[in-house]
Amino acid sequence: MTEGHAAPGPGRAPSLEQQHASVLGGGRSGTISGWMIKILLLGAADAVAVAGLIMAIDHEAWGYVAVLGLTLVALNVVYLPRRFVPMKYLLPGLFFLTVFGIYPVLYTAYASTTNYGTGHVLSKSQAIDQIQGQSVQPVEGATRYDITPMKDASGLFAGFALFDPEGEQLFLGTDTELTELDLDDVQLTTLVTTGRTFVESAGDLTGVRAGDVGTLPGYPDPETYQMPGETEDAAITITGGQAVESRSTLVHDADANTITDVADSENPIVYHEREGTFVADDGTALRPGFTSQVGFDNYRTVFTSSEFRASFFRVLAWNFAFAVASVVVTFALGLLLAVVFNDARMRGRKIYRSLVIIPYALPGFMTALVWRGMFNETYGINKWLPSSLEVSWQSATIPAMITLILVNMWLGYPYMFLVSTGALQSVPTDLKEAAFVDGATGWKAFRKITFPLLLVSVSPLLVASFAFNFNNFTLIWLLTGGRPRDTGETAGKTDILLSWVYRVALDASPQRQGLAAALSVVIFLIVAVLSAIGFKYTKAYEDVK
Amino acid sequence: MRTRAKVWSVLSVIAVLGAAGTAGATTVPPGTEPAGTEPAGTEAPAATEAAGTAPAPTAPERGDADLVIWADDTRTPVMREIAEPFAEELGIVVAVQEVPSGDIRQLLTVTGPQGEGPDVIVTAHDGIGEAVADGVVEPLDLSGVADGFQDVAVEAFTYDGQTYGVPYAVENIALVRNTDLVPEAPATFEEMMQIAADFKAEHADDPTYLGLAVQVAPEGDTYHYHPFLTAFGGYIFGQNDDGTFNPDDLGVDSEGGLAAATWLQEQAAAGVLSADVTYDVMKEAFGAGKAPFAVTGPWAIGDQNNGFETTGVPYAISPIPAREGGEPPAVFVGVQGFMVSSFSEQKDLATSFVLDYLSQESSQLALFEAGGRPPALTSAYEQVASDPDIAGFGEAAAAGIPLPAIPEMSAVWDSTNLAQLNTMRGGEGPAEFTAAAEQIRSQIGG
Repeated sequence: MTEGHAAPGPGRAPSLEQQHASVLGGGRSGTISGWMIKILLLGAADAVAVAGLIMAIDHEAWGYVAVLGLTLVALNVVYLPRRFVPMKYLLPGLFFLTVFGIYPVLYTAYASTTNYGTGHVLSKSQAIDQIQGQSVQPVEGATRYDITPMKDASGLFAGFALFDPEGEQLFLGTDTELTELDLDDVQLTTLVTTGRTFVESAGDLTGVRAGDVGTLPGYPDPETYQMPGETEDAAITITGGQAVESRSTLVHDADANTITDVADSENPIVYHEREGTFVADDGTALRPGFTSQVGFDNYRTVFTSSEFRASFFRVLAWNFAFAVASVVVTFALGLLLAVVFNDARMRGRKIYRSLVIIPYALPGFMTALVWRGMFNETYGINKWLPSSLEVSWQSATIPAMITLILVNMWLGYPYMFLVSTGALQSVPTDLKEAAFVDGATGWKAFRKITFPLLLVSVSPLLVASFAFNFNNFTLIWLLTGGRPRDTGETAGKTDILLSWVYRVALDASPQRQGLAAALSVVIFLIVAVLSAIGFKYTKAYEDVK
Repeated sequence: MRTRAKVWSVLSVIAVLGAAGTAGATTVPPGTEPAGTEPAGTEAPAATEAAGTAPAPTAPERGDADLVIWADDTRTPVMREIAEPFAEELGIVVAVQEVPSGDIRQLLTVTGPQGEGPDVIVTAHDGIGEAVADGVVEPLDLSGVADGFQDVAVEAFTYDGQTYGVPYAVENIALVRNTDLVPEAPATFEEMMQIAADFKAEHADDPTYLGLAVQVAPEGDTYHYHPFLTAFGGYIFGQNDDGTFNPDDLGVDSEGGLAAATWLQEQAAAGVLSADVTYDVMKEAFGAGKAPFAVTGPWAIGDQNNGFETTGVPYAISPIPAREGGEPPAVFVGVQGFMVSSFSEQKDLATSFVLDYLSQESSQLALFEAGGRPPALTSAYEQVASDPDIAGFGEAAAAGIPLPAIPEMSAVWDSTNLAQLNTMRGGEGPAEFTAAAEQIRSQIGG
């Protein structure tokens, strides 16, 4: 009894490593509660994974089966035994890196080899279903029947009651026969909302309401249900809430991979698959098309079409300049303020520091729109300027570029201020004191001591900021929309690659997601290479230490 | 599992491309979704602004409903009310889910093929060309009910000779005049412009005074420019005898189109029209009595945020008058309606709901009362046309044409918006519109 209450003495306290090990898989008998928690958490994670696995198998989504299976195995292998301690820390990170980092990149790369886009969003089988479904046309002069699903006395689906509202006739249609029912023995209701006739009962058959067909045994898929009609090779099918005798003229031949129009039986028209569409010899295409693999066609378009070649380097140059200038101006202003507010002689530093981060706290979506209003040439800041100083903020190229960089400076300096403040406080003061003792001025001490030390910690952030601004679609799109732009051009004077791609491939018609994906891959490679170079370069600063 | 994941991955492509979700999945270029097809009121200006900014939209879950309807925020409550008796009578569960109007069709295109989407959508007609090309909407046989609807409404939902939706509201812009400044509607285009020019000349120093308040900024606005284009005999696409548009006949650089361009250039230079006028500037100028005329739609009148009704400016609505000896200017008519998803597993219910039930007068009137958009069903329209505002916009619609829904139209917006903007910013009107026409032709041809 007393043993249980005995507090562990200092000598018996588990070491830090042991504590970690116990939580993350060590499972010492002394920390039974930790071990229990581990089992519970792992069990919960396993349960979720297994549930997902079952669903994935059910949907025959083999890619997900593989991923979930691997995750399940990895979870248990890593966390159950006491070994693999470093992996216990790494695994969650690796998992999220894969799901949110690597997978989208790979999927984009995959999408770039397809023609996914307007007119090519369906799978091939869906497209064939649609094409055939839309070719079903009512036979001329055919009666339109109001339909009611019927069940027999034993509660089984017995067929559809077809009521002809004009001829006042009632039939029972099954997939094999059509029988006329005696109207004397029938109870009909007209539905208030739709005006259709509902057959409450006919003889020993009972009508089933739409809400109850889900539980009706033997109820077929009404879309594919066919009842025999009067005309040859036509059938009564259900379409649009009514049944009508109709026929389809398109026949799909899976082996030959063709669709044949047999409307004119002597001259059937054959449609062959071509780049995600069924096309006849005379060029007539069947709608809709479907997604298909096009190999490197999208990349060929990117690199060879005049649409992209003509403006690519101009846009790339501005894109680069914009990203570099954004980093430079935000960092310069942020650092300046950080240094100023870091000086102990400055009064009210806390208030200033709080105020300075306001632009960072406001949503950029809103502020960018406010800034756009500010730079409206008639109703913006020009209103308060003497007319000789009015600037064509939106219609001239250089002012529009300056606008972008100014607004980005306003949006971005608080971040640079925050990181610089943090970094400044980590610069050891004794180094600076030593410099002053050696006779350095304030500026010289900053330039030779503080700044290089600062760069050690912030330069990776500068590289990241460059990568972010290189793809700062939001600001460009909201503030200038790439304008000014010459009529007839797709690339505006202030477009960056991403905004240009978005306009050409996604904000246009037809949408070309496949092409957009190919361009994304190209942009991804550019940013990846530039960032890799940047990070390599920043290592040089670490030598300062 | 697979379906949700696929949706997610498609969105992720868009997100990766569009700067992590900022690009959104908006298909329609900001200028092409005319304010008129947006929910009335405050959302009209936001629609153009938010088009590129909405975070990547996500589709709601279907849940266990038999019939799922997607409507935007302004129509969700009334759709719930309307759907209730239908659901009750058939013993089914109907779910009305709120999806932003700009995202509805795009999300249907993404989720439908995965079996996750809605059965019925409420949308503007101008996206049907693409929806049909994508194979995501079901043809609807309107033959039984078409006679009851205004012709323009049925025409709008017709694509390639086939109808795809049940219309419920017709919307368009018209000339709104300040009845203190201009008591009588001008008889001719020239008279209208003279009044506008004189008014502007009186207030030449103050940019907040406008001769003719028409929104253009920030990127040009072909939707609002179209009546002026047609006033001079210009047009975008020629119409065949049956009312369908002929993409081979582009009239942006026709004689009339270039005459309109020259006129536009002159008016901008004279300050009667300005490239810097946004929806808000237009609304504020007219609302404050600082413009004798505005060319806008019902949304600017009922706008909760300083609409004309709120500011109390005395106004009257009439069609934009024709030039002497010219044809009446044609405004674009946008039609709202219901479409059935090709991927619905309840096509019978969905079609019956849309075709049999929503086409009835009572449903159309209920929708009118909730949204204030003039009904597309003639008998319902006649009941509400005693309202002078509705009659005024209705009169303007009579001379209008449906907003072209052919996919070729998408090639037009960006080019003509830009030509209009650049002309008003000091470019040579005819040269700008000729360049735009060339670009459109090369895009359509290629």
